[in-house]
Amino acid sequence: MTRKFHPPTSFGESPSAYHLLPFRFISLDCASEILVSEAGEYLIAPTGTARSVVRRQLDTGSDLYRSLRARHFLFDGQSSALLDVLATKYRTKRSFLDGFTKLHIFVTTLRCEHSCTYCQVSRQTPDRARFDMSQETADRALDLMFRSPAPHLTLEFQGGEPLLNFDLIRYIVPQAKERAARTGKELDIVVATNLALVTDEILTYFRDEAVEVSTSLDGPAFIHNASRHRPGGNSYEITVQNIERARTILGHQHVAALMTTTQLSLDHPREIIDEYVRLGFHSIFLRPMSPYGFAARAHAKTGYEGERFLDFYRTGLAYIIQLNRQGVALSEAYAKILLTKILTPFPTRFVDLQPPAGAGISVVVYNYDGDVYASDEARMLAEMRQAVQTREHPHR
Amino acid sequence: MVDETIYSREAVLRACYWFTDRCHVFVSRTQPGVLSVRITAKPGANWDSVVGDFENAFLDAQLRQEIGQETARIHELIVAKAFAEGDLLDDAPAGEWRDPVGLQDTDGNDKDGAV
Repeated sequence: MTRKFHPPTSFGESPSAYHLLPFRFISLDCASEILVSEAGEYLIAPTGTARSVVRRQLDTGSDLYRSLRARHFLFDGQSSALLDVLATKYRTKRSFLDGFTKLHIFVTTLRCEHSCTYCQVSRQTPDRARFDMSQETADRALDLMFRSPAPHLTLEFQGGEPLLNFDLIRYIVPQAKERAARTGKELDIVVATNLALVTDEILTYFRDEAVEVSTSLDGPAFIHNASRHRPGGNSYEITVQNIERARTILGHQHVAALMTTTQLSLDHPREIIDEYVRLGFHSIFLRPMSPYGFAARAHAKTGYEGERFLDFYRTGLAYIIQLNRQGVALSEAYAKILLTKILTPFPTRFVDLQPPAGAGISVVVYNYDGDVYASDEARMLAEMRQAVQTREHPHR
Repeated sequence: MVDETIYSREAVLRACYWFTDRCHVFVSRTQPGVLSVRITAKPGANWDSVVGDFENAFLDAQLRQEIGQETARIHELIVAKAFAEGDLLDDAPAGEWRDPVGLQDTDGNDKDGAV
């Protein structure tokens, strides 16, 4: 009889005794791959790990095995409370589905006095009857919106330039609030505007009705004005001036800005970030450009390869982190979204990156003409097709 | 030529789909149990890397299918359990709520003894 300890192998599971849990994998480079479990946990491992997991070639006494088990890639006799844990994690990751459609976009008009080179939709025309949303359409859109089971809704005005149909905004806002009160829902209202036509009266109205303002700022003047054309060529100047006006009346935190990335932007990440810092913004969204709409047709002017955007993004993010270290409070929205998804158990509200896709489920678009779309991109594609069919071109 | 005893049709199609940004791909069956895959590179594609990646893509696609098959039941269980507990997908019963027998008090809570 021996007094020696049994070897470790007699304590481990036999190789065939573990079961797989659902997971995905993809090669990262020639030496490594990443495995992602159903609940969103991940492991970066040498190439071939996924295969050895499935083929039962793992050393069940190894750290790798224990990591895989802890992160729910497999389970064995020692895993406990498994189904409850996984179900909870899965539900948390999918909790953006609660209540279904939360973001409702109202396109109050297709008209716009800007003619931005990358715009997918707007029309420079005084033809209000043709391109403005009517009250009847707004009523029907509101009916549909408040059938959503979500307890917290967001109503976003877009266009064209929504302020060109400000009368309709003034009609919709109290209607929406009344219905929200009646159905016991919370309601946020946002207007996406270029701010060029804003008046003190409009801004005061937004302040009184607690409407958030979101505007476009592509960067310093030479970048912003290069794409955002308007009569007078002063889009940057007027945007900056009106951002200050809006902040004075609404409050600094109720005015946000988004940038659109163009060919010119790709060469100047630092200048764009400096502009946002200079104007006192605390968030910037370095977002890739939509490949749809007129931007795709004008590829020679506004298109770019993914690699160039990645370089732009890397430089931009590194610069932001450098600024953060110097005490400048500026966050990058895209990084925040991606890191939330990778490092935390929680989902995000970003409808462009949701599983299942946010189209319809998270967002819906009510167009000026009464058509309803499951995403803004779908609306833009439809507008493009219409423009081609009627041989119309915006910006002419 | 792809032997269907090694790579399932689904795995082959999925693998091919990944390459449609770099190649034109045509899949057909020339004889029972054998799939024929024809690849032509699109302009600008790096042919050497396409060929190497293609073979690996088949292996990976097949592996993903096996994982999917082996874990299908537990995946269903996880999703069912995730959404069942939270009543997330429940629809309220149609019609107005009524309580003719008086099982719930005015706050909608079950009275003692109610089932």
